[in-house]
Amino acid sequence: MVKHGEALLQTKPVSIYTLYDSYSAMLLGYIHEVVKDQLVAEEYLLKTFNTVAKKFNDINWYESNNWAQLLRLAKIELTPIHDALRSCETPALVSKEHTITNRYLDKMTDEQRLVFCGIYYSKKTTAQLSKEINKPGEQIKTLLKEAFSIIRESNES
Amino acid sequence: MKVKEYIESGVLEACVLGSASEEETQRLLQLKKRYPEIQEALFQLEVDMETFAQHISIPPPTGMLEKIESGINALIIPEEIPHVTDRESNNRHDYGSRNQFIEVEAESSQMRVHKTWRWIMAGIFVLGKIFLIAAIYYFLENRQAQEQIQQLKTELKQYHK
Repeated sequence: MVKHGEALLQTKPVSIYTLYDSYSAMLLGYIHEVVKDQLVAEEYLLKTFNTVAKKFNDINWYESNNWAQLLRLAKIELTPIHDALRSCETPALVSKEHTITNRYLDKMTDEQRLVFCGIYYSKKTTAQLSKEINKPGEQIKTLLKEAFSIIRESNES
Repeated sequence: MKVKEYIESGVLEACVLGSASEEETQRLLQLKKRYPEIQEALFQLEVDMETFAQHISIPPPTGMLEKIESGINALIIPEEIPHVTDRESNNRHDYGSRNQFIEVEAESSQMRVHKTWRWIMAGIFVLGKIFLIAAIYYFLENRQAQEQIQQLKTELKQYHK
C-alpha cells in the first residue's frame, strides 16, 4: 500500500524545484540543528542545493530515497562544522537543555539521544561513539535501533 | 542467515545514517537484493527519518529559491542545469524572459501535436470516405442515366423511321 503510494509519487519528475518544494524546510531544520544559527543555516542550505545541482545527473533520484540523498549531500557540506563540533564537543551538546523542544528526542534516554544525535547531527560513526562512550559497537547499534523505534512509536501514537 | 536478527541488530539504522563501516554497508547492499524483508525494513527506516526531519523543519525565507537559482546559474553552464529550462520552470518563473532566443530548428525529426488533432484527423478521414462513396455513387448513377438516354434516343430514331 505504502509502496504503491511511493510509486505514484515517483511518477512526478524530479527536479531542483520538486526537491526544494518537498525538502528545503526539512533540510533547513536539520542544518539549523547542527549550526544553531539561522543565517549560517540558510547559507549552508544554499551550498547544499548548489551541490545538488552539480551532482544531479549522477544520482538516481527514482531508485533511492530523495531525503536520504539530500541529507548525505548536506552532511558533506557540513563536514567542517562537524569537525569543529567534534573537536570542542561536550556531552551537554546533545543534552535536553541544548536541543530545541523535540517530542522524539524528549522520549529518548540520555544514551539513546547521545547515540542518535551523535550520528545524525555530528556525523559520528558507530566505532567513534563506541570508543567515546566506552560501549561495544553492538550496543551502539542497539541504542540507535531503540531511538528509531521511539520515533516510529511516537509517530504511530 | 537469520534475517530477523540481522534487522534487529541495528545495523540497518547505522547504514541509513551513514555511520556504519564500509564493509557493513556493502553487505547490506548485497542482502537488500536477496531479502525483501530487509528492503521493507530499510524503506520503513527512510520513512522514519523523514518523519523526524519533518518535525524539526523550518520553512526557508522568501527569496531563498531565487538565491538558489542564481547560485546554480552562476555555477553551471545552462546546458548542465538539470530541469531548470523545462516547462515546469517556465510555468513557475519568468525564466523565458531571460532567454532571448526561441529555438526554431528542432533536433528531432518527429513533431508533437495537440491531442485534439486526433479527432480532427479522424473527422477528415471519415468525411473523405463519405465523399469518395458519394462520388462513386453519382458516377454510376450518371453512367446509367447516360445509357438510358442513349437507349431512348435509339428508340426514338426507330419510332421516327
